[in-house]
Amino acid sequence: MSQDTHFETRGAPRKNHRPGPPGWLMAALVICVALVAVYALTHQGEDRSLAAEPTPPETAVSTPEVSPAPTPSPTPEPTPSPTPEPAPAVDYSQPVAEGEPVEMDWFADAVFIGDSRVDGFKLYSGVTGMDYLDYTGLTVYDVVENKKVIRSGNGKISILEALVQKEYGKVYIALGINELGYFNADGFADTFGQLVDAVRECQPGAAIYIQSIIPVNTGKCKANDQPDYVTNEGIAGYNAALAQVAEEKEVFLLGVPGALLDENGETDREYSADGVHFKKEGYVIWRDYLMCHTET
Amino acid sequence: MKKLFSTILSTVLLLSLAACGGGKEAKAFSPDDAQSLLNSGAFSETLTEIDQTTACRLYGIDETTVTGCAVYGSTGATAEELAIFTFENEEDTSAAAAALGYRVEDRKDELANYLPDEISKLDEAVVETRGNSALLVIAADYSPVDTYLKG
Repeated sequence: MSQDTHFETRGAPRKNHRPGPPGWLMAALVICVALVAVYALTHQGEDRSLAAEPTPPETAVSTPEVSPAPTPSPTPEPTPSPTPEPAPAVDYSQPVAEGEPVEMDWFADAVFIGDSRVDGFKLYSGVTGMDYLDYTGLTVYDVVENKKVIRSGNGKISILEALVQKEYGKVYIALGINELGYFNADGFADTFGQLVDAVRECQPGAAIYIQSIIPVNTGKCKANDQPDYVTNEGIAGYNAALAQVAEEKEVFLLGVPGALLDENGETDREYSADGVHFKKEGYVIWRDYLMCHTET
Repeated sequence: MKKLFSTILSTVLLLSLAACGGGKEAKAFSPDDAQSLLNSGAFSETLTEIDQTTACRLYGIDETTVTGCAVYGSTGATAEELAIFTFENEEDTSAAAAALGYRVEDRKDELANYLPDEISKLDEAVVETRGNSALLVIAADYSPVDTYLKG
């Protein structure tokens, strides 16, 4: 232990007299310290307020950077629009499927060719906007052979002669009951095909609809002395022939209105007038069927 | 004798004049008559009503000339039919009567082989005009029709 660091704390200090800083220096030092303290205390808030000043935003106009000449990019190839899916091909071997019913004006550009059942449709179905080329007892052979059956002024013309007088959007054909007596479904199909060709030539822009033969009511046929050859077995064979014609000629085939039939597949007695023809209610059902089977 | 003969002849002539001059004019046809005709037994089946537009197209009658009509037809079992039309004037009535006549002829052609038993009804068909009205009747029994016509 050096003499310089040893302090004796007991007892009265010994008064050893070494020479210290002068008093006036000590006073100056105290005054400086006091001044610094005062300055610090008074400017403490300014520092904080200086720190809160927002940084002014950068100006919008900026000096453009000088960039090197852009490398020309290849012209982008146009994005090919998606190829629309082709509409499904019509299956002409099957009857037209049921769809949303059309309005009555669907028939405004339509014509209905047929026999006495079409005559009844004309009178009682309520479709007044359609043209009708019908004749009681008409057969497909009469049409192809140009039998003159349609009243024109003082005389008569054939179905096909009447057909070319106006442009139609739809041609309906309902024949076959009167041909059953020939017992020749193949001959019927062959001649029906000729009829379709002739109609297409007369009306190249029209959709052609072949109506399947609607079954008869056997009981009422017997009660009303309908010909013996009018049978549902015969009708089934001729309907198969019509289906072949529709597929071969690519025209629409219309099925049988199920609502007309009973549990045996015959025209219900309630809708049958004489076994072959329908009551008014039956023609209305047939009309409604046509309006729901248009292939639109 | 001569005096007696002259008296008798004069009497007969007077009676004939009275008969000719005293008869009342035949009553025009009216669509309102249709129901009584339908119920008279003239038809063998219940006929179905045909609306005016369809009827005019069926017969080839200008619908704009029609002031009233009642038309009923068969659904296919027979040739029976009833049509009563009224028109603005006699000219239109005559044109309609011609059209109704064609209807009878066309039905004969159609049904000759299809429903040959119906031809006799068509042979006796009534097509008649009275004033501005026209009538077509193809019936099974014409006795009630004659009664109606004598009215």
